[in-house]
Amino acid sequence: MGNIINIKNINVSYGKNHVLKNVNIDIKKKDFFTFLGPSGCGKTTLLRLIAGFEQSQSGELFIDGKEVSKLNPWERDVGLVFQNYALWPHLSVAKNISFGLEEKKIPKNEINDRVDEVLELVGMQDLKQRYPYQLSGGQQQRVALARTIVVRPKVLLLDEPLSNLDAKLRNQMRIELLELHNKLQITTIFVTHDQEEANSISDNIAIFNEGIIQQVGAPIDLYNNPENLFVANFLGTINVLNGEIQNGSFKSAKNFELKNIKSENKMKCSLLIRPQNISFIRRSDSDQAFKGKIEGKEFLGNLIRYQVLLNDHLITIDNVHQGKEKIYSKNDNIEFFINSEISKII
Amino acid sequence: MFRNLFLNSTSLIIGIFLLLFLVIPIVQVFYVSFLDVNGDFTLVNFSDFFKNQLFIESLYNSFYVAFFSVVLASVFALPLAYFTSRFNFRGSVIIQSLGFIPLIMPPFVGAVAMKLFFGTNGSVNLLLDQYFGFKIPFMEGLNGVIFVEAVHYFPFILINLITSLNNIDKSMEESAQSLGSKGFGLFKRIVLPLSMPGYIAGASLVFLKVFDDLGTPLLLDINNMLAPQAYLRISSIGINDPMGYVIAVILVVTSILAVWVAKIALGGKDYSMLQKGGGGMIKREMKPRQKITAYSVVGLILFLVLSPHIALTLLSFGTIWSFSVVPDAYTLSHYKSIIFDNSIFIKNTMLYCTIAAFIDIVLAFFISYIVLRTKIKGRHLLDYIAMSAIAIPGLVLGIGYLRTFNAFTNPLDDKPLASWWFMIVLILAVRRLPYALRAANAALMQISKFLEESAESLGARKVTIFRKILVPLMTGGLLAGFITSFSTATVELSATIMLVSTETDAPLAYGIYSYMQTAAGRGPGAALGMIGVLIVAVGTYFSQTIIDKRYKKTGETENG
Ligand SMILES: Nc1ncnc2c1ncn2[C@@H]1O[C@H](COP(=O)(O)OP(=O)(O)O)[C@@H](O)[C@H]1O
Ligand SMILES: [Mg+2]
Repeated sequence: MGNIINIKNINVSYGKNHVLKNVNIDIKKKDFFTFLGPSGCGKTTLLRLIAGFEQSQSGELFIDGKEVSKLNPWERDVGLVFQNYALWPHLSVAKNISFGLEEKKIPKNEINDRVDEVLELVGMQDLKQRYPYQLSGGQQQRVALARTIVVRPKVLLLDEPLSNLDAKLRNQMRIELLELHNKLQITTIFVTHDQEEANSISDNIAIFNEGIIQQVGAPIDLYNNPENLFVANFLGTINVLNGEIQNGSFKSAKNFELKNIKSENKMKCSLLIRPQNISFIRRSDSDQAFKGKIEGKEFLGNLIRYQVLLNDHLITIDNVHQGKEKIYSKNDNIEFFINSEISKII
Repeated sequence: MFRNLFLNSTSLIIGIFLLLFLVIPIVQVFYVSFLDVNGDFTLVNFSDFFKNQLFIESLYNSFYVAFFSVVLASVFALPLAYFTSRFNFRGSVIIQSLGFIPLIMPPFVGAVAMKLFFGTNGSVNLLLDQYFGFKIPFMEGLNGVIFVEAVHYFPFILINLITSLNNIDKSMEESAQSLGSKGFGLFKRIVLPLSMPGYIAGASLVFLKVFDDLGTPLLLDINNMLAPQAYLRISSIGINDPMGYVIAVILVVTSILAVWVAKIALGGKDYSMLQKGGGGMIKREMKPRQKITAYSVVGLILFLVLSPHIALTLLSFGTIWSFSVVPDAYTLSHYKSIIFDNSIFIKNTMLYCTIAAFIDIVLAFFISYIVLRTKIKGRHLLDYIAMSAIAIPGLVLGIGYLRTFNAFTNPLDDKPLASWWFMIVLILAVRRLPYALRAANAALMQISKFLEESAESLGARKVTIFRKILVPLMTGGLLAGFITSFSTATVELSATIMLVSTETDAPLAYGIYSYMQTAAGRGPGAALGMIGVLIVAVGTYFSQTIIDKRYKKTGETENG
């Protein structure tokens, strides 16, 4: 399957600040691809590099098989939608959208048709003659999108497009973005610091931290098989126990032991278990039982999150809240079960 | 009960003051322009105006001068704005500080000195002739007015343009680039329209200032423009000649029209509101050749901006300066004569401006308090009227005073009230009130309402709160307002010139004007000008330092 973007060994520094460190990413055609990471990790920088607004000190960038590092932004055929929308305040909605088409010297009647078409696509037909200051945040967002997709760029780049919207609108726009992507089948790179947003919208995600790509993959794979602690933690709450593996058993320094680990011997490693994978009831014969004491609990609506003390380890356990399950209190002694098959060693 | 009474009567007194010394004089001017000899309503004065060849010419010339001053000022301002906002350029700091220069010296002060510098037989043309064999008629006729005005007022365009360019977020250009736009096309479609509001704001201000200016054409001996015509009609034919009033009305109407046209041109859109961030345009490094060009252009413009000051300095210290690049010899005698022998101008100015500035801060303090802290009816009108003084040409207000207060007799000396020196004080106070008011508003806005409310809840009376809380806290701001009003009043000519009846009552600006009438008086006139400039420069410096300090102080209390 063809890649439309290949990022090879890209390094970017601002003075002593090494912002992108040896970044390698391949993005498939028509993919909805997300750059996910905490703020300041270099997502915007990489996105702007693809758009042609930043220069790398070393490395190569291919768009559709062509090395573009030396090309100007206006020669790259990628559409960048800015976080602040960057609509031109002196131009009406229609003029904002036709701008790129006019630059391409497309005939007038075709421009009109395409503007109308894209306005319909984003549901803004009626606001065509308005000026940006007469639009709400969500409407500005749609115009910014329309303005970019109307020129049919090879890649659509979206820098935190939802971060300026309120929570309700954010969910709605998320759905609309996805529908738009399905309709247009345009390769999209989406930047966000919100893991939930990333999970719900992306085909694939690259997780960034401090300028280094931590892991690339489909959301579920990343969640289930994190390759390092950063990814494991960033994608949701997880129990991390440090220890070693001997003869198929994980042992922590505090005498916690989990058997039947399918791994060779390791001196230093971590055992990762998501809180929802620990249960108060035995679900299969291969479950291993442990005894602990409730330290605290947190009611989260759909589940109750317990902090449980086990051999000096503080462990988080999520129990689905259905209304009839037993609810424990502090200092209750409890028994719980872990299945080694859904734990993860790194 | 007492509180309301005190504030209500204070607002009433201020209202009456503004009515008497601002509103009525202006209404008078309009009223008289529509009266015939019998005191009946007529339009004949206006038709007379348009039948008179000299007036038509003057009207045309005033538009011509104002328009080309804007053009020339733009020629100075545009490259500088471009360098500062487009490139990482060290000269930017110099360019930005150019903005203060017109505040320090009104154009008429240096006008004569500019003639000696740039005139047909002035320094620059003598040098040009000697080395290149040609002369440039910088100062010939209307050119001189245009040149002097543009040199003084171009920073208004510059500052507005730089501000508006800095408000253009980088993403405005980048999103255009990402859609395939580049180079001049991008400039024309995005940068230019977005910087238009700033340009128009600055350009219309320059147009107004030049159109209303009386001092510069008078000192350059140009009479066929509107403002000098109004002055000459009133001062030579008398206050009953309707033409002076007709011209004054035309000046005011044109000012309003210019503002209105500028508003229309802007289409009521303020782009800066919409561009979050506002990080300024994409900045580039200059190539060596661009650097050379940039520094030469900046150097040349810097020379132009400073030339009135240089020329004035030379003139004030020079013995004889005629047909030579620099004066023949140097002397302190001009300063001696204006400081020791003929010190009346300086003394008068000190007296008038001190009283005027004091009136200003008292009025400003109460107006800002009434507007910001009370719900008294009509408080915004008070503010609006006080601020509107800034838009009224000084000449028009002067004519209005002359007309209004000539009708009353001063009980002190049985002469018309208009010729009393205190009228000069009042007109200066009214003209400079907006400056003081701005300073007072800024100061009061920084003081938390809670401070007053807590004192009030402890039973303090309004007067006590003013005296013990507000005045001490606002001292810095009021002082800054005082200094600004005071120092800019020292070089005010267009309003006061109408009211000076004898030289013994004349302030410094009038002294410059009357000295400059004769060749022998130029030296002392220039020395007087230097003193004026010095007062304004020192005043500006101090009020700026006070304001800076105050911000630092409030900044600290916020953090700590
Ligand atoms: N133009 C610049 N000059 C200097 N440092 C920059 C510039 N742009 C970004 N940085 C730095 O690069 C790092 C990554 O920034 P960015 O890519 O914006 O992060 P993100 O979008 O992931 O929040 C930050 O430390 C930021 O301070
Ligand atoms: Mg970012």
